[in-house]
Amino acid sequence: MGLSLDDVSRGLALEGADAAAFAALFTVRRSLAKSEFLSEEGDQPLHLSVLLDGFAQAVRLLPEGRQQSLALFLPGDLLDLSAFVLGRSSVAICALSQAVVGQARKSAVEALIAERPRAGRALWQAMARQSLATEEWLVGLGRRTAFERLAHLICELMHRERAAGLASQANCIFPLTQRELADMLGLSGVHVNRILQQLRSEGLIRLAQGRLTICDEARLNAAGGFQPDYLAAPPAFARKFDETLLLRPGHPQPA
Amino acid sequence: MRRFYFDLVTPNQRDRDELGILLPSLDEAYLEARRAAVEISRELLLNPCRGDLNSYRFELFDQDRRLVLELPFREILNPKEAARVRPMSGVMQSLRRNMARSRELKADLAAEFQEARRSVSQALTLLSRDGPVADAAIAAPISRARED
Repeated sequence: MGLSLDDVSRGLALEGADAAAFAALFTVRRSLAKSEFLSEEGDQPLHLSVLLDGFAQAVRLLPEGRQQSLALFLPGDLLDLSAFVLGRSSVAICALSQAVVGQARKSAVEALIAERPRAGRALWQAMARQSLATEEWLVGLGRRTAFERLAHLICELMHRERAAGLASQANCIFPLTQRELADMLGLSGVHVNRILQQLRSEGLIRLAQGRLTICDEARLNAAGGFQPDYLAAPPAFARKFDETLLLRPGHPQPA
Repeated sequence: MRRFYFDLVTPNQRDRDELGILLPSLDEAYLEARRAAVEISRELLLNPCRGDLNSYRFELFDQDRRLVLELPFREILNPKEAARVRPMSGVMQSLRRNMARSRELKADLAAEFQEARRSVSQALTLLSRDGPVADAAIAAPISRARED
């Protein structure tokens, strides 16, 4: 199970020699147990990390045991990119299931970006995509009802698992406990429970043995106001960037 | 951690909680119920068909489906009035809460003693394998604690 580093390069729209050079940077492999922390708030990361298997989240711990989850990571996602760029983590990264992480030394990544601008573009683009996902969560936390929030999260999870090759049709892995859902949606666990049961009784989802089935995807999408555009890779930007590079002699081309 | 079930009871129906939530203690369950009551009230206030929120309540059950706590939404929505209108029920409720809590503490203590006894007996087995040791000295503190 899990993604190869070539898959990761492909997911970042890197090709040929760029893809190979990027994949070759990830020389460290770390396994995490469920609930294990990869890094904590305030850490100064020396690596760029990518999730290869399992699920993880970015979480901010608050006083009195409260916490807010800020991002959900699936295989292929780069973890805590802003900390990599800015040098300090503002969140903790925590495994939601057993997970495998690949790591590349920061200095090696920086050298590669200098040498191969497309690698820099890929990271830039990945960061923009993550910030779109954050915006979508922000809209949910600020303005969606509890029912809409949970419906939206389920739709997003299904969509992303399909893209990562983890879902079969309308059936996907559901790695989240009620507590974790509550921390993602900014709700109490009791409220999350009630809405899960409501989604079930209305025939929208089925949950069994850690897997979730969406029974009526069109209706669930509508209920959550889910539009997957924010999850799609914007190829236009990558193409434009690469075309500009092609016009400039002296830059290494993909093989 | 133990499982608690939170049924939402309204004048027309009971929303039975089939999933339950794992929480460390009844105190935590009470706080969780309060948080949920605030959240649910806030959402229901926008819903014109909600009925009177003051008549809503949470009923909390333990893992054996025994009622351990009631939380009327009125207590959250109008805390002062709730205290004035139902002084007895407030006392009863806090008594019930305390009793449930003592029951829980007792169960926790019993479990801890059992665990301690198990470790000691394991230790004794290991020690006796290695040769004679003053096992009475090790066993003594535990048996004393048990009598307390």
